[in-house]
Amino acid sequence: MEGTRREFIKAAATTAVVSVVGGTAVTAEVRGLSDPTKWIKSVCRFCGTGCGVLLGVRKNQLVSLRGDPEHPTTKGLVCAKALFLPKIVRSEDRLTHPMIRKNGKLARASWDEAMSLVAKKFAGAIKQHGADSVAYYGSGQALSEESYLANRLFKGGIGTNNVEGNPRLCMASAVGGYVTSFGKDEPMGSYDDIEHAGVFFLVGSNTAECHPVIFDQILARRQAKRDLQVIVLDPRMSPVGAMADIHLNPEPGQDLIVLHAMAHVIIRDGRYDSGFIDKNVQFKAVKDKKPVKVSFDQYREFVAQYTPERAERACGVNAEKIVQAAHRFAAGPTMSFSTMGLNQRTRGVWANNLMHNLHLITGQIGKPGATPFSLTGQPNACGGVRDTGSLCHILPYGRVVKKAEHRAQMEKLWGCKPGTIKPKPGLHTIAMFRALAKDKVKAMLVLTTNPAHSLPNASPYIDAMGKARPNKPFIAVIDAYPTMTTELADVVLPAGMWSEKAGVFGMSERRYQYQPKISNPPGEARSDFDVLLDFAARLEGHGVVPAGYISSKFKNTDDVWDEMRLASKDTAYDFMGMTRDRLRKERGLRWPAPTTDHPGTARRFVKGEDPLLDSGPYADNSIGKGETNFYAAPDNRATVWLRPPKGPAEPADAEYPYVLSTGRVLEHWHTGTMTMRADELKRAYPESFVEINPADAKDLGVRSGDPVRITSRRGEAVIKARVVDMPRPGMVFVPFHWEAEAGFINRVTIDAFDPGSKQPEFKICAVKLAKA
Amino acid sequence: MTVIGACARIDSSDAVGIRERLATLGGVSTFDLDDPGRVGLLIESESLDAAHQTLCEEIKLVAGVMAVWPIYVDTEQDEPPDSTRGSPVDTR
Ligand code: SF4
Repeated sequence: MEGTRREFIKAAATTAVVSVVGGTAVTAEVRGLSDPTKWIKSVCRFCGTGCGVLLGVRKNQLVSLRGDPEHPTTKGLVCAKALFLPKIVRSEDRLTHPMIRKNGKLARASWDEAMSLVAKKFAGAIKQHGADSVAYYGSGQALSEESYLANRLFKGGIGTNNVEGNPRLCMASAVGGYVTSFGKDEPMGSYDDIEHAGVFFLVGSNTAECHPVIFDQILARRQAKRDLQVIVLDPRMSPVGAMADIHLNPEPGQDLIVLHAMAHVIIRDGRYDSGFIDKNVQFKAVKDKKPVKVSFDQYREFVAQYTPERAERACGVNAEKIVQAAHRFAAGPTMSFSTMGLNQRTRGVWANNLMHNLHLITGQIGKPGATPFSLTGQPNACGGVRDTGSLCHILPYGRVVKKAEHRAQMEKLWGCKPGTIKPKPGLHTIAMFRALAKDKVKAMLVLTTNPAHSLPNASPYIDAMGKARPNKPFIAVIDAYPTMTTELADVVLPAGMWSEKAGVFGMSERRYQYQPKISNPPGEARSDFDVLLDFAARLEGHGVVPAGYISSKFKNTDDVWDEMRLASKDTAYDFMGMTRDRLRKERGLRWPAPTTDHPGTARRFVKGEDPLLDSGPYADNSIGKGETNFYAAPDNRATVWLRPPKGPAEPADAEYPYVLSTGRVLEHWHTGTMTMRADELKRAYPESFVEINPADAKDLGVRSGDPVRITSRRGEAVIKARVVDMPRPGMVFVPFHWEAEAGFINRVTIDAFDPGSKQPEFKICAVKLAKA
Repeated sequence: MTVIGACARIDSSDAVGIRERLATLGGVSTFDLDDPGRVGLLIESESLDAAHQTLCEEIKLVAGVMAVWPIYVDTEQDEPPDSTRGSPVDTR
């Protein structure tokens, strides 16, 4: 690199840092160096933090990436993963042409051949076995328009509710928690609350590694407010546990009783907010499988049994710590962050309810710095799958398939015959793959996700997708990279990714952000959106979708976006004001934003902040500025639930005496489809590891680096030990990013799921350990 | 050649000592930021791999550094300039 060029790049790097953090270092501008880079605003492709990025293009190449200093919430910070995005997009092993399996091997095919085959198989299944013999399995990594289009095609075109996606594996319990507590999905607060919080309650969230930019904001808040308290509820001492003022580490799966014990202390010691409760809260229990209203006194009686001492006996958390945590929570302002530790459980919805209960009884909600907040793992699980209703039981923007009124609204908007959308929910993820294993689902389209790696108890589902047999279901996979799932597919369709297509991502704080197309996909690859359009047109041609249902309406994602805005009108999600032009210019907008001049909403359900309380179907002019109205909930009141503190589906026992919990590391993301393509990230963690507490390691005679056999009732994996005082004794932790056969941990995990959210319990299953 | 611009969140009571320790790392230079709890970092390295290692392993181990955040990366020289991947389009 020539000297001046190097000087320029160094100065540009300094400029970027100074523009984010502020400083007086000599920047490129000061030195009079002109920037040949074209900078284009976009969004990070990885997690639901949704960091704003600027992409640098020189010589027609995406060569540079920086945090976007003008981004209102992430303010220019990014984490190490984002640095590798340009390289990951340019990866040499991108899929570049369609493939069809012939004689057991994937062979190159033309788009026409591949798409003809996919359409023929789907149309054949629908004609012979009915609409419910086909299924769609999508992703929180697809664009919102892609998920919406697929949902529209399957539910309103084909007439099946067999529409699912990987957010079922990560966020479904958060959705269930929000819906049952507040009436509708998605958080009421936003990242703005971080700057006002006095207490952070981190529940099952390794924020430092999984949402690192949020973690930096927590650190910044701690520097600004020296008496800030961080309370962590997690059986593992993750990096956030290390900075906690109070770390509550219950036995895995026993955190519900801790949350009840905190409620017990809050009520016992008079730390609840009776004024807030009187105006905004109702109490419910479940009797004979039906929710029934109960009184505050009945709730008080219910939690009276869960003393801190009883909780200590049940889960091992020191009673005094529970008292301290409860008092600090109630003092507030308290912002809770929760993620997979709370969601990936057979009682994930209840666990979310109990966290919400604490906010509701203390009034730590709807004011600056006070809110429960579910952090999302994928960049577009919220905006793309949850909000567009792309799961088997829901329809766009808070509607459900069970309600005739909601079905009729969507049928009208989509222009389908009344009665097309079925009232019965389709197959949820685990049921869908079980039906595939029984050859009841005959054809499945998988889009931008890798279920062969990410499903729990993966072995039977891998067989379901790939094992040769008479009448084996047909599997088509759209993806940008070869994965364990493309290896099993009958047809592989190469997709464009991230900077190769334009559309919207909706991240954790209800912010919808536009990502532009910067380059064309490599080889013959097409955007998933274009593949879906082609697929729909061919199904119309086969007569299994009404002629023109998709093909006459949409040419690009802009067209779909306009219909999505209409679908949101007058719902609790109303984003009619988010025109494409606004999104292209602005750093995203948070819904509700019902009019084109509305700046977006930081806090929902609060008069003076939420525009839906001023006009439209949810308007309430009887309350004053700053007051709360949970307008999406029955009787406009949020619900405090009386839920018994149930444990996991498969606790440790004499035969399988340890609990396995799976999770993530900073450098990798989910099944490694992207991050394993950066050698630098791969080398940072070239192989999996199992964290074992030193006390357990001593019993087992295991040292760091020794291979350990981890066996459950479903399968086994052999993984190198990392002896470390992070998991509590009796618990082991394994990140799930690696697919190498011997260390593939999802052969061990359990596919038991929450009866409400249908989300599997990745966080807890019983295993035995032995030095291999 | 890879250049990374980053900032580290540090223990502000030991800022001078931390900067001295950071300066002993190869390819790392530091600069002031307005926030006394942070220090600016410029990491120059022969490859993205080496720069990443410095960023994610070496700097984190320096006593007093609480967290490190990359903000800018330039990898132009990592790729052949005539790469055919991803032909450009109008981005509006
Ligand atoms: S925190 Fe998440 S969204 Fe932000 S840069 Fe890192 S991976 Fe991307």
